[in-house]
Amino acid sequence: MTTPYAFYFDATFCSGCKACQAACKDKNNLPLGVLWRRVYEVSGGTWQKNGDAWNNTVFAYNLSVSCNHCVHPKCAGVCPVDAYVVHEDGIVVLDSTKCVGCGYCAWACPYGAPQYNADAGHMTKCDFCIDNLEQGLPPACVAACPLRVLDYGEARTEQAWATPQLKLWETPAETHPYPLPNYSHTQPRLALQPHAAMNTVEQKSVANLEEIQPRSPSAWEEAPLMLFTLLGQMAVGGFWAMLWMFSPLWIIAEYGTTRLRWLPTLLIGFCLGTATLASFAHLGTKKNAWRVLAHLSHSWLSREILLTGLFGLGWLLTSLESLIWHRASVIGLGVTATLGLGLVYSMAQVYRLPAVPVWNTWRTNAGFMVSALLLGHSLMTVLFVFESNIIGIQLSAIQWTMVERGILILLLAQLVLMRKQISQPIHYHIRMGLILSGMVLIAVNISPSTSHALWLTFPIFLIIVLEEGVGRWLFYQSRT
Amino acid sequence: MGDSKSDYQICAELAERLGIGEAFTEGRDEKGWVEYCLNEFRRLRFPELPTLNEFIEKNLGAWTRPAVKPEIAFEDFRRDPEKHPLQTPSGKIEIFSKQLFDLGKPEEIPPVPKYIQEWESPFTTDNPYPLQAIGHHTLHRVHSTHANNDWLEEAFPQRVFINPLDAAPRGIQDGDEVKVYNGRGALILPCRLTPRILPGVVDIPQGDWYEPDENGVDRGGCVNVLTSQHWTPFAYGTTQHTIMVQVEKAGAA
Repeated sequence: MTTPYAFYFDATFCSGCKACQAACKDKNNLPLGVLWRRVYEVSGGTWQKNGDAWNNTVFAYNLSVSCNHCVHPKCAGVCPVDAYVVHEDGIVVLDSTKCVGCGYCAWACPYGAPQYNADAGHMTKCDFCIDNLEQGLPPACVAACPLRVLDYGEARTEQAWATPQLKLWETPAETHPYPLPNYSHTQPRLALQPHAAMNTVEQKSVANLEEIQPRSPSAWEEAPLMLFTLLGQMAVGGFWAMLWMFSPLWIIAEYGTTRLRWLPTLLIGFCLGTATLASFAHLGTKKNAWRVLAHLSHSWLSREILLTGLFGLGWLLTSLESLIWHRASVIGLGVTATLGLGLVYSMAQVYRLPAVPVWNTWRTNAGFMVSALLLGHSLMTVLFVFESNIIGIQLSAIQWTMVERGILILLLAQLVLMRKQISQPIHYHIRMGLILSGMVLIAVNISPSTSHALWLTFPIFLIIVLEEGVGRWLFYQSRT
Repeated sequence: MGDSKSDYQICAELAERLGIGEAFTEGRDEKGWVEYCLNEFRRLRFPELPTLNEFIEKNLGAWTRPAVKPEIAFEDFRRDPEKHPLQTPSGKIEIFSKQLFDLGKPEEIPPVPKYIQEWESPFTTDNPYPLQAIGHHTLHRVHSTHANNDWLEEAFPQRVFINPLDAAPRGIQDGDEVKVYNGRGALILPCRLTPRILPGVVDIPQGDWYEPDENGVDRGGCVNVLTSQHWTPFAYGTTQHTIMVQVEKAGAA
């Protein structure tokens, strides 16, 4: 059996010249912003004045990192099109002809190895210069290192790793040196000769982070994803709200053929359709979109897309049944509502990545569920109030307070979920303000008298949409 | 690459067309010159140096002269100062130099080695430009060559390096655009806060290209806009590391 390859880096003598980085860019002809290998410039320490002189505790070291060709490569696991190939020698290679350019592997990798090439429209990553290895030559980065501190070898042969060093795939992630993350469970195949300063408790920082971090997309570039999750959740939540608000009316003959029958379902279809288009729009290589169900066995992204399709199918069949045959089958509606639940759950699971600790919590699941309920509920309330006014059905005071109290409780739940989001104080306060003003509006409107202002449901809906928009923006921003 | 020619080939062919081809090349091509220089080194200084063919055959790349005994400076002089005098007027190590004394400029060129305060210095009082500026040789460039190589700019972006202790009272944060200026000129660049530079000193790597904006403020990061034309007193060299500057957040009044 072939022994897996690993990179070896001696941090004690690296001068930070970045010849490895430049040689890699040269061999692979990488555009600006794409760095398959990058050098972290770590420094720390302070200066104290001592009379006319200065004393210091300053230290610095460099860490050259590429893809670590992990024992458990998360990039390969999450890829919806199954474009990753793990060779027998452990080298993780991306088949760019299959790649759909969704960028999901970049989120899943704790080391920033897969990087998006905007010109090519697909992801790219280090392939260990597999073509060089086949000719018996070292990878370009290793060959370029003037201090011979970068090397490679077969990870498990004692001979290749004679000197004492840190074999990261054998050590728990919590003990990996800064700036490598301490939450990875991918077992990176990287052997290190640690710099003395790597093990100190002194505060360290990466001086050149802005240059070497794969450029994180701005919030606007992630707008399609925000739109997909928000509208998808609105569609599912809207479907649930439709069931209990509107479906009882469908069986009453005089309302059975009115707009109350087709308008809600049309609106849900519009949300779902726009969501699907938005998620399609953000793909870098759209012609590969047909492959996205190829990795249902491992990828939550594949599952999310499957559930979007199944929920859409359920929506289509129940809508047709309702519009053409003026019938509503409990089984059809029930199955579709359950598929919607699955869709919201899978949407959250997509973001439960160990490489993004801030996302990898129950708050993501709970937050998406509350979003679905809030958005769908408030949308259907607007529709119901305006449509029923036209048709002349009055909500009973009891129904009314139920609707409003429901939204109030959901807003409260959203407040509770928000407690930990303090990284972007200004937007946090904007969102807090929106939630509170929504609560105040509902509170003044909730009295079960006949004089409640029905038109207030519309501004309440707007406030909720805004609040959810800001919330989702904060959610995407929190990744980095 | 393709039909392109090396600098030597270009010069040789120009010389040929000017009718002085033989005088320029002395009948050697590039490899011929390498061999000639190597042989001259072998003949004059390092007889143990391998030949060019040995270099190529063994893929030597670099050759290190083997150290066979400890090197002692002025070994002959120390053994027998009478027989092996130094190349000074007295033949001895001169702590006091009469040659320097005779120049008659003891303030700038003292005859004994001692510290002379520069014309611009952090040790003068009420200096409007309190920070020393240096321009180190960055790995980005060879002086100004490769300043326009974007892969190298990506690896070593042009920054004003400043200690956090100097940045804090100026309200400067890492990555901020800062204006570095003195009585001679000004430049605006993003800054990099780092403890790796001494407090009181800022660093603008030398060699980047001058790109003035409409106000004549350099945006390219060319440290030469801050340097003076003062010569060093004795060697008449440039004094590009003797600069005092002030730094402020760009855009501040």
